[in-house]
Amino acid sequence: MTARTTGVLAVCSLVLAGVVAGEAWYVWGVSDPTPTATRPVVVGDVASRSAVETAAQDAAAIFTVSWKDYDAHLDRAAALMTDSFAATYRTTAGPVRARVVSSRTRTTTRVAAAGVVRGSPDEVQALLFLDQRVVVGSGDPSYNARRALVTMVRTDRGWLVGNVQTG
Amino acid sequence: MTTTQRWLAALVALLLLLAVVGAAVARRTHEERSDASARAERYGAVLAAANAEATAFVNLRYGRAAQGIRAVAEGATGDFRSHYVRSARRLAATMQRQRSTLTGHVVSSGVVAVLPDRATVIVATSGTVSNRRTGGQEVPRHFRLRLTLLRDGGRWLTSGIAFVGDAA
Repeated sequence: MTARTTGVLAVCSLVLAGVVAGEAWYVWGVSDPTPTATRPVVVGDVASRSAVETAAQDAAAIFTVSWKDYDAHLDRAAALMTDSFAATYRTTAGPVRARVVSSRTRTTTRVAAAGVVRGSPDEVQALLFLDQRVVVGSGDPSYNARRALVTMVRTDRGWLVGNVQTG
Repeated sequence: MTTTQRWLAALVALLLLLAVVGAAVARRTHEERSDASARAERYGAVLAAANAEATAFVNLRYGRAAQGIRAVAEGATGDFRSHYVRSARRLAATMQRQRSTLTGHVVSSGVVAVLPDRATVIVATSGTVSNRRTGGQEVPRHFRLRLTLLRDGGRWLTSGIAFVGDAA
């Protein structure tokens, strides 16, 4: 009887340990889903909205530039980006400086609309419609309607711009 | 009861408690994942419907205007659909007169807002237009569209299309 009781308790312990292990695996062992064509946004609404709003603010800041403070603008814009993209941005923006300064160009950008294209907990891609007002020298302003795909990356410093494609 | 049995009984009690708590946590996790999965699929369905409607909207050929208009109407609902169908004959006549051909494809699209029964999506398209004004030449034409969609009978249908206008 004593041996049988011990055996029953041991089996119960093993079964329950298995159940607890299974529950733990289900709660903590399943990796986060990744975006697919049919499930492009696998991050919560609050996080994706936060990323898209940050993308809109940052894009407006990055694409609003004046010849008067071009170098300071580069520093401000780079602070909104991941280190790797900031390096790329400085490389490509550098040659533009001479043209902007010599033509005394001022560009003001506002975001007309923004939406989430793809999203995971670590990375969100936003589609932005940008309205730009460009003044060259003392000439009349011209207006451009553009679009931008902005990739936001979650970092220790919050959402940062990881890539920008314009069209 | 022996000392071993007492230890085993205590272990069984502890594991039972953990299993009960674990079941509650697992159930909550399952519900959250189900909600997240449904939400993720909703984004996909909304974008697919908006892309299909925008594609139909920017592909109209004067020789096949009726088919093009029907394709737009099939993905539409409400006043937008009624208005579009009502003006179809006039639109087709104008396209025929101008020998207009509009072609395009979706470059990118993003969800502005989505609820279980309604959504707003922005769509960027790229393509060409040709008509008498262009001398029959294909001229690049890019659109920025805002679509509102309603869930109707298990389908996402467009209830409105607006151009997100040129900067001014």
